[in-house]
Amino acid sequence: MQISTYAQSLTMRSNVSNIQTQLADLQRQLSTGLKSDSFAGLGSSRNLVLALNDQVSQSNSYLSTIDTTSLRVQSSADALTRLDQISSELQTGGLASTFNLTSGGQTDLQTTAGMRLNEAIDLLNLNVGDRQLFGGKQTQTTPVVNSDLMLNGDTAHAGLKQVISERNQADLGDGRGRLLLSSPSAGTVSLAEDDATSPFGFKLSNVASTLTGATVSGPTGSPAAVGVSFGATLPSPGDSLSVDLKLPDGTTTTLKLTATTDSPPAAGQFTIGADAASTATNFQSTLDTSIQASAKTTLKAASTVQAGNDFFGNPPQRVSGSPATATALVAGTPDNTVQWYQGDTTGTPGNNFVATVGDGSTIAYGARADQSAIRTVVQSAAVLAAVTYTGTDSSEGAEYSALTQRTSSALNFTGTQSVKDIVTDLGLKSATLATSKTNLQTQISTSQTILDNTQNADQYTVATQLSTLMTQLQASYQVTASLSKLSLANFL
Amino acid sequence: MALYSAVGSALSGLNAAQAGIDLVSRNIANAGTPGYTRKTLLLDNQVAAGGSIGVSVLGATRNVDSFLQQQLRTETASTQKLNVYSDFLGRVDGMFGTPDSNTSVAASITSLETTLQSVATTPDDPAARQTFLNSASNLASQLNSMSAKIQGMRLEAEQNIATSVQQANTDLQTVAGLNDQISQRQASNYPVADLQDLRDNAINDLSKLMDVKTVQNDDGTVTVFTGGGQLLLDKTPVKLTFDEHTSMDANSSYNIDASQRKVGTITLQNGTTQVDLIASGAITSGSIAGYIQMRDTTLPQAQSQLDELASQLALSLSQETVPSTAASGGGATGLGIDTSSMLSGNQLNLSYTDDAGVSHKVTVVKVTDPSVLPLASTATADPNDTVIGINFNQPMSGVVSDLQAALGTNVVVSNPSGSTINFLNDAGSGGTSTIDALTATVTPASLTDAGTGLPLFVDGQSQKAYSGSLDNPPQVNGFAGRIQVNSAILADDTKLIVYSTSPATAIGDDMRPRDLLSRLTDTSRTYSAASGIGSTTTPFQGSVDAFARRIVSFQSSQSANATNAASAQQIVSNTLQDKFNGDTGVNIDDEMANLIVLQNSYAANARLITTVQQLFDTLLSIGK
Repeated sequence: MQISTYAQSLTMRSNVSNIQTQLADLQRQLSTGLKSDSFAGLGSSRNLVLALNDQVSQSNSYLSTIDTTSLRVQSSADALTRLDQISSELQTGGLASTFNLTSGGQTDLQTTAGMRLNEAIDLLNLNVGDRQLFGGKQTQTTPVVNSDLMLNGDTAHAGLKQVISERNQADLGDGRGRLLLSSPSAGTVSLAEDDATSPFGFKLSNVASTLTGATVSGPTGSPAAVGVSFGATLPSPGDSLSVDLKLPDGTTTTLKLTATTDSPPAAGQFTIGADAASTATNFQSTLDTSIQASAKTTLKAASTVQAGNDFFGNPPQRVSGSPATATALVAGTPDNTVQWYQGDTTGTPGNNFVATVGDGSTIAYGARADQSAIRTVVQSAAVLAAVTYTGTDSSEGAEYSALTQRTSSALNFTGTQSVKDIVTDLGLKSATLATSKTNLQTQISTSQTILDNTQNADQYTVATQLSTLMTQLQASYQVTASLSKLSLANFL
Repeated sequence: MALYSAVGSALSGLNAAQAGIDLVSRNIANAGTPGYTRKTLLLDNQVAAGGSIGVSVLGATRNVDSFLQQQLRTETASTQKLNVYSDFLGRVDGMFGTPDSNTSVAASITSLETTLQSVATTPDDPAARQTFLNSASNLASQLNSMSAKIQGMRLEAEQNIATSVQQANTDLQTVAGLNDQISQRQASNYPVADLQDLRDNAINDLSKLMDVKTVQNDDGTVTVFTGGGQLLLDKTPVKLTFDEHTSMDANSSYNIDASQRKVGTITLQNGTTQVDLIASGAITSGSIAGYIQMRDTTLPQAQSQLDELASQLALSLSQETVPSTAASGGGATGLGIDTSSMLSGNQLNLSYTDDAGVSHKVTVVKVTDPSVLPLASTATADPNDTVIGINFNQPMSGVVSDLQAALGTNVVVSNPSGSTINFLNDAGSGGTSTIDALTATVTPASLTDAGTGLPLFVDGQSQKAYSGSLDNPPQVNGFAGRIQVNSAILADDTKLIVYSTSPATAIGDDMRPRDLLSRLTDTSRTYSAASGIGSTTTPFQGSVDAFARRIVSFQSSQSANATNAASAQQIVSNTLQDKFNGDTGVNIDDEMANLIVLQNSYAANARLITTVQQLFDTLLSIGK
């Protein structure tokens, strides 16, 4: 077969240009390190590359979420750990504290409580990455007001001290805890609440009597009343009557009156008179003294604690009308009462944030300042810091002791979530985040390895192919040169 | 006298040798001319009175295998078509960037998701919100620019068809002119080989543009047909015209009906007859066929994939489901729904069980343009539903009666008040059908107090809500070219967080960003098979990012296939070309060898004349 000279050189040219194209591609592979510069060139592995690139991007975004979340969780846990220490300090301090006024009408414990209150507020107003950690979804508002405003209020807004004062007045009334003591007839004593619906003062809860010959009724009626009617047979010495009084904070105190023949009687005793009428008069007088004494101490402490509950409630509760005669609470408005917590109040406090840390894997986290345990710590410190004593009234010691007992008991967190529990919960979240992070990192590294293997050119293979092609190209040039000499025209 | 005839023969030999050398010189001169075929000299023994009186030169001829030539032209046409595919699809693939740069549309959607994830983690961070809006804008402009590039390529194909048609006309004119010359010269017995070369060149040119068949006639002329059998040239060439359109968008498509056609077509004019060559399928190969395929099929498919992606992206973020309420009347019970917030393209999804106990799933699509009714069952991507298109651009009584007519007797449709529609069972007429479920899928335009979704993407500069309207033209057509980020959100990025004004959503609330994220990544959607991905019976289902990845892999795999097909075809074509060139081209060695033969022949003939001269001298010197 004859080959045309033109076809021969065309073939040669296309062969050489083919090799040069391959050479250029190999040079590109060598310099970029990538097998292909287009998805088309990736062949069947393009789906893998697309999926893995997406996965790696997603995982990296999960990682960044985990890092941000971990910082928040860790910071929250650190702050709450300190708050838990404050809680313990106040709790144990309350149990051990004695009534020694040191400065400004307050005991050492109260002064400490004032400082701890400041510290707690600082902790709860922790701002990480321009974001409030304890305000729920209101991340741009400082969640807790400062302690001065909280305790003292300002011209337009009542602070905790005013709320305590009003509540104390409302609960104590004329000094008898809103109880009315009377003698409807000779030999009969009646003890009644002043209002059926009023939340203030003592509430008659139960009466137990061993008084011989006396008829004890109640508490019955509305408002509830207790009646003691002495009969012809007079009580024997040692007979007693106990009245259980429910206090505003839900605790109970018992007044026990014991019959005695001593005159004058000791505290909590009444002298058995000559007849029913005189015994009743003695009984009424002792009951009156006991009620007034209890009102000044236990009731006042319970009232103070309850004022704390009122103030730290949502919305805060205020005494409606003139305190001494008030019979109802009314919700304090942002216009007239300091709102201690300025953050988000929607939903249940705690775990208000959700972090997506993997495909379909989420972690709820976060604590809120109005969460019960946290609020209790702030409230206890604030109540302790708000109360002052004159040091002149002998009953103040008992009142103080009733108060510290109550605050310490609240800080026991018996049967409720404590600050420690919240910290533990956050710690678990932190651990889960760390595990997720490790998993993601492993996954990313695996994916990246596969991606590299798929996308990257093997330098060794490329170099070998390159040198083979170069040899081939040299040979082609050589042959072309030799062939060009091989023309009959050169030999004629 | 014999000596005289010897001189005559020698002279004819000299002439033949000269003609031969002339031909060798022309062969060598054209050795590198494309399309030049090797010419050989035809010689004949010149006979007079029964005896030879020398050699006669019949002229140059060529030796061409016409079967091989036809095959070569067919393969050339095919190569050209595949090269067009490969070139255009390579550019589509190029729009996705390099695999390592992560700049493809799929990567942009991934980036939209990862930045949204940051917003969900830190909703109160303005930087996170801005970054997310940036990636949304980038995605929108990437879709816009890809859409513009695709339409640009279609316009380029249109222009290329116009140029190619002009070229084809020129080629046909050339062939016609050469046909005339060849037939005249052949009739006068003049050599035609060189003219045939020129004509072959013109036909080869034409066969790059479209597949042609030639038939050789006895008078030396050729008749040219298209591959599909349309006559292009007999005695006179037909005229091909192309009504080039100068702009192209997603709604510009070819239609056999000339009034609906929004792109150019090739018309063959033969006297008074006109034939639409695209409609008749006369052109099946060549670069013109390649351009037509790109302009009318392949690129519109790429566009519709981007449109479907843009559409699902917009809908996934904005769609809300409106629940129905229990309704009853006339002893029948069922469900009622308020249709007032429905936009054109929004749907009612009704499930009911008929009297025979068979469950039915019906999708009622709101349209406002009755000309598009009735809708095909493929109007929704869901293969298991019955699609009913209802014109809502009429009084409610009309809507109700249209619905009733479409649903039959198992469902009783009524309009108790306003724009509420009740779908009740047929208990009123003693039947046992039940209405099982009814919801409406709507796309609220409001950014707040309408659910936790968000119309982040809107249609065009006018910020029209995107609801996938099926009115003519369907809103999805070219949506990728128009998709924009809602300017109200760009103006106030807190709209990404605040979904409710009463109670006011706190700025740290991650509800909306988390919902948007889950709509993008977790919610599986069904994609229309019209985009070429998935089928009507088993449509593609998955998240939006998965669909985007599918598009990238679909297009790049098409590109790779086209490139492979083109290079395989190139090899076939090259092999044939080599064989053809080898058979018909000039081999210089051969010509040189021939030159020696001719030189020798010339020398021998000249020597003969010298000898005769000497003989005459000898003869004349006799007797001196």
